[in-house]
Formats: sequence, structure tokens, C-alpha cells
Amino acid sequence: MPELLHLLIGPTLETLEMVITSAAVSGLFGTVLGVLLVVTERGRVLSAPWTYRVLNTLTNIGRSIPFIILLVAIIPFTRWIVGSAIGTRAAIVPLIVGAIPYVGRLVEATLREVDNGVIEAVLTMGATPWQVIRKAYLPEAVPGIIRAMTVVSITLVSYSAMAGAVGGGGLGDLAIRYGYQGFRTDVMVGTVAVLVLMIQGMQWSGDVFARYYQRDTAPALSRGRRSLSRASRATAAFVSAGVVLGGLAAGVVTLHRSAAGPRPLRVGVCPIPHAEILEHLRPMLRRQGIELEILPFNDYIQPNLALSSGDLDANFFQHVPFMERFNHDHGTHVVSVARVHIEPLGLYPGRTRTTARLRDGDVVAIANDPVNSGRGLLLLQAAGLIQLRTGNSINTTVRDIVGNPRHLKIRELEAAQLPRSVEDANAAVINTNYALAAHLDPLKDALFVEHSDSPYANVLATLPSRASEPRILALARALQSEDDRKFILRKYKGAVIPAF
Amino acid sequence: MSVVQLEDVTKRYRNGDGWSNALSAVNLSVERGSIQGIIGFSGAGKSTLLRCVSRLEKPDEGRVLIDGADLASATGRDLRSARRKLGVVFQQFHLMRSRTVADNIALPLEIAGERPMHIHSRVQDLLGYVGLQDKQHVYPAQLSGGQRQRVAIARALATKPAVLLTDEPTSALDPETTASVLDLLKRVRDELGVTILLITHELNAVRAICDYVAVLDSGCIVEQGPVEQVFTRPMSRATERLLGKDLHLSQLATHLGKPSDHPDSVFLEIHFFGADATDHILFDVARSTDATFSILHAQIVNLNRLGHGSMLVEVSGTVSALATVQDRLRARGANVVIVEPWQNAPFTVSGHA
Ligand SMILES: Nc1ncnc2c1ncn2[C@@H]1O[C@H](COP(=O)(O)OP(=O)(O)O)[C@@H](O)[C@H]1O
Ligand SMILES: [Mg+2]
Repeated sequence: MPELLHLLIGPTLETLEMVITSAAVSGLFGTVLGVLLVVTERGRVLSAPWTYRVLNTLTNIGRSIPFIILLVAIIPFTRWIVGSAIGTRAAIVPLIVGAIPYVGRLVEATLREVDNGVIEAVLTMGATPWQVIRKAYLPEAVPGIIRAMTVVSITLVSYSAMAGAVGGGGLGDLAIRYGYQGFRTDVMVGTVAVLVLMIQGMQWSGDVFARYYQRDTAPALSRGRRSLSRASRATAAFVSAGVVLGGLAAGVVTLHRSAAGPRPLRVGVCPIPHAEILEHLRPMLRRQGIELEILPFNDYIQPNLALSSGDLDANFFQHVPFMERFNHDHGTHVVSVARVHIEPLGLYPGRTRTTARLRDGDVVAIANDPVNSGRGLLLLQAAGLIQLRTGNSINTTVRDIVGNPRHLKIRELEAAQLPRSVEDANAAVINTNYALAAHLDPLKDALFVEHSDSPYANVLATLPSRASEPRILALARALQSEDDRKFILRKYKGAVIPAF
Repeated sequence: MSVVQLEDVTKRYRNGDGWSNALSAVNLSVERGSIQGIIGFSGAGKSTLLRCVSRLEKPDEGRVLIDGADLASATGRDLRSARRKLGVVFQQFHLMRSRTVADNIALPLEIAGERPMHIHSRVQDLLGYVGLQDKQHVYPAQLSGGQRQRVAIARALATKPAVLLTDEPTSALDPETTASVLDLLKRVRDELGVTILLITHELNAVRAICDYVAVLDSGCIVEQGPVEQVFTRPMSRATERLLGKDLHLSQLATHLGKPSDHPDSVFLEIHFFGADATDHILFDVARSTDATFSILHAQIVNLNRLGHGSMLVEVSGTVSALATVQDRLRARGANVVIVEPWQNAPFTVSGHA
């Protein structure tokens, strides 16, 4: 339980920071947009048909871009604003950009509900257009705007779950990494519980405030209802204050972290075992004056792209064949600095419990990305199940199978999906990191394991220009230290093997 | 000098394929310190007229002079400062529900950029004037219709306007509240000297407080003048219809029909004004002739400061006796109309010079 709490606190603060900051900023800009969408319409106080048409079209475009696309599409803008395209604060930028048109539309709808007679009454007082907006439209729409912002904040909570794609962390990311990929049911349940509490709290305080500003309590009921609503108003104020302070605290911690001393060394990693290895080395490096910022990623593409764009100082998640193929496909120049460990690929049983029992037409699942697929095929060849035209070359595909005496059907799936799908196949070739996360023991459960002299050692990688920086070299030394060797052997009991 | 002067004000609206005139060349001048009524059936163009005066609509043609300055062509800063000479009161109040009573009254002063100290004391004065001091911290939703309209009137008076424009200010209210709101408007004119334009479709509102009335029909002013004159000697079909609809006398006569056993009888509609309205003219006249009288309907209404009595009477007798009756009634200041119920026309006017 304390471990679970410890796991939940960080991501909860990250989610609050993302949601509060993005709701506040998009609320501001979105309200401006909503006001403009109303007042510039023909015949309104600031009638400007062309401006209206342009804003209306832009809003529609903004509303139609799927968030996950937006996240990637505005990376240059994000980098320009917060200096980096990864991390919690980098996730806030697309959240804001995505929410502004949404807020704009909701605020627009609310302002259109304001009685036009009231607007005309204010105009006859000799009000300027700005006074009409400030004194009539906005104050009359306050309950509607509060309701709109409640809806937006709750939507932002679910959007922030996608922040994991840019290393932004948060509860959604935690649920995906530990709960979905890692089979940690307790984390999944804990995350959902925190999210439910958070959303309930937001909806409830939104309702209380909107009702308070509604100002239409019937006279006969007002006394009883007023005293009740004062109590709930106080609680709502307390909850909101707590939420806002929490978010601010998280923001301050982030700022503080980035302000204190030199920028920490940012390393993109896979959660297991890479992140755990770096966590173990953190105190040793701190003694050398090197602060680590460990950024877990859910996929294999972003860490190299982020490294190439300078958002990361190094990454530690891939083996050399993958890296070379990636450089070739994406025109990048990522280089290896240090071999660290091998995560031997294993063949795990599904419906069939031993290799010998695999028979005609049985299904064997392997990864579908080019590198892991070839590596899986090599493993099946080493296990004596198939024969490949390309021999021991790592550039191998299913079309290179020349011998398949048991007529096995090879199914290619997303690597992360393999532990879940093994039950539906007769056997599956699974990467050790995913196997470990799914509580498979490579030493006990695997039918066949990759040889330890495999070319697939995981490496610390960086750009050529940074390869000789003292901090990178210090990190490489730490990764290849005796201390690290002992940690890997003790912690993973042979499922992960030191490669130095 | 007139404080509001309309010159050939015309307003057109798109109507399907073509255009229709909501107002056609309206001319009207409103005397300073008077209460000018504008009456007409629904759709006559009354609201359009008021919206042209407050410049919520821009007239297509003509001029709207407020204290000599043309509002119809004013824009920007000029328009805004001209508007501060006008206070507007609407049928549906149009108060801001997010502001308390006091803050609603303060709004025009805030917009005019007054200092907070001044706003506070002015608002307190106005609250006292409309009798809502105890409600100042309450929101409009918690007020009755009459109270809301008082707030709206106080708000319209906040910047000390020369003219108060009111569009059906009592049409959303019950009769009792109507009387108190009309009373308040009358006090505003009497005590503060504010000129009032009262737009309404209710005769009683005009009777109660207006000095002058203009009758609007299909976008044209068909008749205007002092209230007593217009309502007792109507010159237009529209006015007749308005009055007839109110008095129901001709319809009543039509229902009764011509009594067959009195071939020489007529129905007379008789109007009295002033102190005479309660006098015994009818009995004096009846005693001095051979004709027999039978009163079918009688009512007295309060027309401005004057009483207004109206009766429907069946008179039977010789031709000369009937003529004598009418002459003597007129000699006593009554307005006499022969109602001919067998005709299709609901209301026939005769006998005034
Ligand atoms: N905004 C508008 N667009 C088109 N026609 C209008 C508009 N406002 C008023 N009218 C028309 O003008 C005429 C006068 O309307 P209005 O001034 O509201 O009448 P009243 O207030 O006397 O009932 C009506 O025929 C009405 O349909
Ligand atoms: Mg009207």
C-alpha cells in the first residue's frame, strides 16, 4: 500500500499540473475567442463579418484535429514556447492549443443565451462595445462559463492521459504503463480511484459555484437553501483551493527542479528495466554532481526523435540493430556510447506447453516491428523450428522462411501486445521487458531463450556531437560499473544479463 | 420648445421578397415636461418608433431630434453621450440578473464613469424614491414584476435623463401593480420634470397619466392631440376602434337590437366630462321632455384629471322630443352619439362640429 501511494503521488500532481495550467490558460484565451465569435457577428456590438468568418473557420479547424495528431503536429511550437517538446510542461502546450477552440465554442453558446434585451438596455445607457462585453455579456454569462470550464477541465483530465506519448507522465500514463502493460491491477484500480475522485470533485465544485452565481433562488425557498448552499460553498471553495494549491505546488516543484543548478541530464528510457537501472545509479551520479532526469516513454520512436531534436541528452532503451535501422529509416545519427545489458528474447508457452508438442498448423506469435520480427525469427531458427534463407543475418522477414517442417503459422503482433495474446496462440516470442512486466519469468517460464552473446545488447545512445561530453561519459561509466553489474544480476536473477 | 422631435421618420423591414414600412414619415413633437402617450394596436409600429428614438434601430429616413441634436445620424461618442439624455424602460424590464437591485441602478452611472462615492449616494436616493431601500441587496429574480419595473425605472433615471422612453411598461403587470407603476411615472414627471414617452396598447394607461396622445396605425400617426380631445372626438377609424373596443357600447347595442314595440326609439351613446360626469344631467333632461328613457349601460372612468362618464340609453318619443333631448344634453356639455345597431358599422359618429 505505501508503495502504491508513493507511485500515485507523482503522477497525480503531474495530472493536476497539466489540467489546472491548461484549463486556466485555455479558459482565458478561449473566453476571448468566444466573446469575439459573438460580438463580431453581423449586427452585434462589434459587427465585423470578415473577422467573424475567419475566426469561425479557424475554430472549426481547431475542433476537428484529433488530439493525438495535434500533440505531434505542434511540436516545433511547443519547443518554442517551453523550450522542449517532452515532459509535463511540453504536454501542457498541446492541451491548451486543443482546448482553446473547445472553450471558445462553449463560451460562445453561453453568451448567445444572454438576453438580448439586457444587451440593448446597456447600449441605451451609452455603453461602449467594451463596456457591453465587460459589464453585460461576461457577468451575465458567469454561471454558463463556470459550467463550460467544468466540462473542459474534465475533458482535459482524459486528454492528459495521452501525455505519456511525449513523456509527460500523469495518471493516465501510469495506468497504461503499470496497469495495462504491466499487469499491476492495484495500480490500475488506484489510478482509476484517484481519477474518479478528481472528476467528482471538479464536477461538484463546478456545480456549486455555477448555482451560486445563478442568482435565481426563488424568494420563498431562499432562506433554507441559502444556509445550506453557504456550507457547500465553503467546502467547494476549500476543495478548489486545495486543488489549485496542489497544482501550483507541482508547478513550483517543476520550476524549482529546472531552476536549481545546471540542467539535469535528460535520459529517455523504457520503464523496465532501463528506468530501474538508472534509478539505482542516481545516488552515485549525484555524488559526482550529475542530476538525472529520467523520462519514461511508451513507444520506440519518440526517444530517438527527441534525442535528435535536442530534447533529450541521451536515451537508453534500444539495441544496436534497432538503432541502425532507425537511423536508416529516419535519417538520424544516433550513436551507441556503451553496451549495458542483454534482455534475452524468449519463446513462451501459450496453449502448447512445450516446444516438442508444437505441431502442424499451430500459431506462433512474434513482434511485428522490423527488428524484433527478424530477431524473433532468428530465435525460432535457433530453437530448430524453422530455417531461414538468410542464415544468421539480422535483416530477416517471414518471407525468408525456407524450412518449416511443422507448418507453423507465424503471426506478427505489436510487441507490447504479445504477453496478452500468448493465451490465444500456441506460443509467442516475447521481449524480456514485456515478459517481466507481465510477471513471466524468463528463466523459469520460457521454453527457449536467446543466447547470451546476442548482438542485441541494449545501449546508452546519444548524438555524435555529445558522445564525448563529460556527463555522458560519466553516465556510461556508471552503467558499466561493478556496482551496476551486481544490481542487475541481483535484481533480475538472470532475466537481464550485463553485457559489459 | 419640444424636447423630442421626430421629422419624417421612416423605417422599413424586409418582408419576404419585398420591404414593408414599419414606420412611414412619422412626425411628432413632444413638449418638455409632458407625458406623451403613443397608442395603437399590436403591430402598429409602436416599439419600432421607440427603438428609433433610442437608436436601437437606425431610421431609414428622417431625423430624431433630442434637445435639438439629431440622434438618427449620430455615431460613436456622439451617439453614446446623446443616449445618456434618454432613460429607457422596457416591458420585460431587462434587468441584469447577476447584479443586485442597487448594482442594477448603479450600472448606468458606472458606464458614465461616475465616481464610486457619487454612485453610492445617487443609488440610495433613487432607491428611496421608488421605495425599494429594503430590497437593495436582493437579486431581481427575487422581486415581483412591479418591484422589478420600479428598479428599471430607477435605473433609467440614474443619469438624470431629460426624457424617459417607456415601451409597454405595465403590460406585463396585474391591474393593481399597473396603477402603482403609472403613479410612479406621473410622480417622475411632476416632481422631477422628466418628459415621458409612454408607449402602450392600453387605453387606461393613457387615460390615467397622459397629457397628449398620438394614435399609431400601420406605421402612421393617424391622430394626435390632448387626451380629452382625441378620446372624446375621435377623428380616425383606428381611434374609434380603440375606444369602441374598450367601451363595448356599440357591440352592446348591436346585441340588443331594435325593440319592435317602440318604432320611434333610438339608442344614444352619451359621454360626460369633468364634474358633470357625476351630475344628474340625464334626469334633468328626462324631466323636462316627453321622451321616456331606459338606461342600458353606464360607466364612469377616470380620464386623466377628469371624470369620464359614458352611457348607453334607449330613448323613445316623438321625433321632435328626440331632437330636444339631444339638444339639451349637448347644451349641458355632453357628447351625444346616435347608435344605429341595425347597421353593419360597429360605431357611428355624429353630432360634433
Ligand atoms: N426586426 C424586425 N424585422 C422585420 N420586421 C419587423 C421587425 N421589428 C418589427 N417588425 C415589423 O414591424 C411592424 C411593427 O412592429 P412593432 O413596432 O413591434 O409593433 P408594436 O410594438 O406596435 O406591436 C410589425 O409588422 C412587425 O412585424
Ligand atoms: Mg411592441
